[in-house]
Amino acid sequence: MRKILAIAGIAIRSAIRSRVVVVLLALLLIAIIALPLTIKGDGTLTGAVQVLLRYTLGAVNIILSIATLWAGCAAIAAEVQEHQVQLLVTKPVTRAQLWLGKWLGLLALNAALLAVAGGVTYGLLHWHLNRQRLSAQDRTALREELLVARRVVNAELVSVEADAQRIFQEQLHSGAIPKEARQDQVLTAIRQTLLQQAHAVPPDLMLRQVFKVPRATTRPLVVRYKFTSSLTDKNPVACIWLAGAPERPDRFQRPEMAAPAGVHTLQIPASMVATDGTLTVDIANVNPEQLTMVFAPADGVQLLVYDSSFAANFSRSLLVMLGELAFLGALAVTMGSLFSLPVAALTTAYAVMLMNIGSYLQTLTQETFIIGSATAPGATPGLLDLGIHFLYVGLFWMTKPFQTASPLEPLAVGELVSWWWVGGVWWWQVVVAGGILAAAGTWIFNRRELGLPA
Amino acid sequence: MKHGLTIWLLLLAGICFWQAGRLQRPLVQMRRDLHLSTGEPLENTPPLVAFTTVAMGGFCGVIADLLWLRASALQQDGKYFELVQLADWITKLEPRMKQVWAFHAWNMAYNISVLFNNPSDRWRWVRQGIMLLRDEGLRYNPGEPNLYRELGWIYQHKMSGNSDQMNVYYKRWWADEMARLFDGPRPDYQHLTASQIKVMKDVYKLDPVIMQQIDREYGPLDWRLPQAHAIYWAWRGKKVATGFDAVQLDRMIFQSMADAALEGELFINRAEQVFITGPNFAVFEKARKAYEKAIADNPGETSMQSGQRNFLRTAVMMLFTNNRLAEARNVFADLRHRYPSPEFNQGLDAFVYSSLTTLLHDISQREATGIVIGALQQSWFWLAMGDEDRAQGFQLMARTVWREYMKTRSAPEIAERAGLAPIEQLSEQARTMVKENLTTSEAKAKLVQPPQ
Repeated sequence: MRKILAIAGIAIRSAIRSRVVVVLLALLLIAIIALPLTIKGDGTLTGAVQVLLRYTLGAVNIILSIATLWAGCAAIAAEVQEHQVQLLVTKPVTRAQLWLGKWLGLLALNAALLAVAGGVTYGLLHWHLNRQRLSAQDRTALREELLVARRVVNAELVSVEADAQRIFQEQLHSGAIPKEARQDQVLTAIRQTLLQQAHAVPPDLMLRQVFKVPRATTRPLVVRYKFTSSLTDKNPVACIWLAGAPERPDRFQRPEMAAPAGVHTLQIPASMVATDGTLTVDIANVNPEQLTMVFAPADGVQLLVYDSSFAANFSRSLLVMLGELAFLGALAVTMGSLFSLPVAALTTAYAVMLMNIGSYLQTLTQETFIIGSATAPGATPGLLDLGIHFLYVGLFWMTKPFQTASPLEPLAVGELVSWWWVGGVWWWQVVVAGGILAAAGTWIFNRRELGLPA
Repeated sequence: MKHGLTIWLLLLAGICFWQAGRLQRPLVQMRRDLHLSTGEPLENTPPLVAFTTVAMGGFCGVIADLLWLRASALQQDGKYFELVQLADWITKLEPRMKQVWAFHAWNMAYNISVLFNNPSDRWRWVRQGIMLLRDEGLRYNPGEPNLYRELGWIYQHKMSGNSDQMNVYYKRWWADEMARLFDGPRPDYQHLTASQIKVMKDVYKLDPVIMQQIDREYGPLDWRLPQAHAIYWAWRGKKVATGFDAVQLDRMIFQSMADAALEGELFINRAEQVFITGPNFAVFEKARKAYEKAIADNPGETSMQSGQRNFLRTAVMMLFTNNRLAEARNVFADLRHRYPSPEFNQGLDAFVYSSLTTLLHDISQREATGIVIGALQQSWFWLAMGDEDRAQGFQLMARTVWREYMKTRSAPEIAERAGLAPIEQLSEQARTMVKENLTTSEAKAKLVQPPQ
């Protein structure tokens, strides 16, 4: 371990001597201080706070990612290229220790820079808020809606499986399903239709949603909802929201005029949660003009429950970012031990790009005809199409563990970045994937001839 | 020696740079002459935009696409806080594409604004749309008539029209902003201070010289109301428009003139929280002439004749219900002459009655306010004149319209946005208006109690 730490120490000292750290620190501080001055918010205080969080930390992440990519690739590749590595490998250190030392040095630098950048951003945010003359109402809104960590709870999903199977069998026997149609796709479509019907609120009717509140709280709960209307205009729809056990005489009740497609919130007292930890929410469609309100089954109505403080959420977000940088460092160091600096940098950048287009790759995996086209129902794709299809599938599954969402999105809207998230990133990306990369990098590095004449 | 070479190289670079600058103008001219590009080179651009568009080269489009995808995803998820910045970047990356400016302004003013329940939130987004076109889009594309039309459209349709349920709030907030620029319905052009002119020009891009010209040609307009601004931007657009663009801007002018005639006068009583728009009779004749001129200039455009017919019909109603019977007869005669129809054969009174009956089935807030106020004014007027029967008739008509209209809009949340002011408040308003026009104290003394 001493040898690894010594190599890490050399890497850090070398970075400080070469002024990389100073330049990075300066770039980070410029981004943190200058960006909020140039970015246009939506004209609200909450918008300004969200922009400050999202853009400053986003810029920090981009700067550190690029620096990690380059420094990680150069950590071994540049030393090989300049024959400096020969001094190291002739000493009693294994190549695994060399790999780990370089990676650890990079991680320590990232941790320090991220801590400084995070601290300055946090301080700047509070300075920005203290400087403003905020009303008590604004302060409360900020504290309860933005500078907080709220867990997002989805309603318990209605089971439509039995009905879907029954309808599918009926249609199959009656010959309503064409022979060339894929049966799994038909069944999925039936399931989706039934789910959508279960979340539609026709005129003068009601939709019931039940939430399992994860833990007791005295803070108000927030219902966040979004719906579409069966009418094409976007006039607000009159609806009544009720919360609490249906038999309670003091049930929460709130009439709302809500615009379709907009995201709306309303606060519900925590006392409305039943003793078994469930919260029943009813939505009544009372619009004078006849229309149907349609909520998305997965996230049309969500409950936001207080979980922890903003400071804790902020720290967890930084830990997620550090975990992602640690993985990127491992990838870059491995590529640097495999290839020359330019090739390593290009390959790492390509891998990072693949990880960031996960949703696009997922769409491509659903296509079987990529070059050719289906000339008739039931046609089979050609070999080339199949090859490309499996390439996309392979790429998607290879990069799937790394296609995590950015923690800055929930942080900026007051949603929880959980310890599970932090743990998941550190376990899958740092321990598992980093371990595999370390093993692979060391194995290849061991076999690489370093004493070739220039 | 080493430094000497550096100095020579720097000198050479400087000469090349100077020479490149000299060649710029003839190259632009050649590009124009040979039709190598579709638009004029960007002018008045800040260094950042000029640098971005040149340095990014062909990648501008790709980056703009990626930002656009992000903007769409955020909008879908209800995360609006970044959208102003993203729209700013996208438009700056493609500053010459008029469609990009038009889309993002429209998206903010129309699509995003209506996603909010709160009127002030909605207004913020309508305003962002206006600002994007007015402050940025037209700055980079001053010769693009389509952008003038898009900007005018937000004033004409979104704010002046009643398709958005919150239009009254928009009018009120806009009037408040204008009230900070000048007192009364329009600036005192002869006595504007330098600071007033500066704010008008720098912030609102309103040139008092052009405003005065427009007032002379089409006014006097009430510049606290959005239709005057629709006319202003259409008028400016017409200076650079040709062909169909000019026709569309013409259309915007006469439609806004019609709006100005029918509800282009603003009555504000801040102490009483009264904000009522009513007909601006001073521009009736000019609105009629605007239609006539547009029809004469565009003989093939039949839709303009339909517009004129509708305007004349509404004008007859408005004049009649405001007790301007001579003018109503005159306009009605014109209507009959231009557009003969059996519905006009029975004469003015029958036409008004049948129109009112039809209107009551499907009436807008603007029309209802106009009819109620007009009827109440008539009622007070005839009371002052000593004709209690007629006064009572108009009072009955006003209350009937008010009651019928409010029947389906009595819920507090609907009444607040789409409802009418209380009948007593409207009645008091009408009494004040009538009293101001009366000269004898004897007549004024009769305006104590409304006719029962």
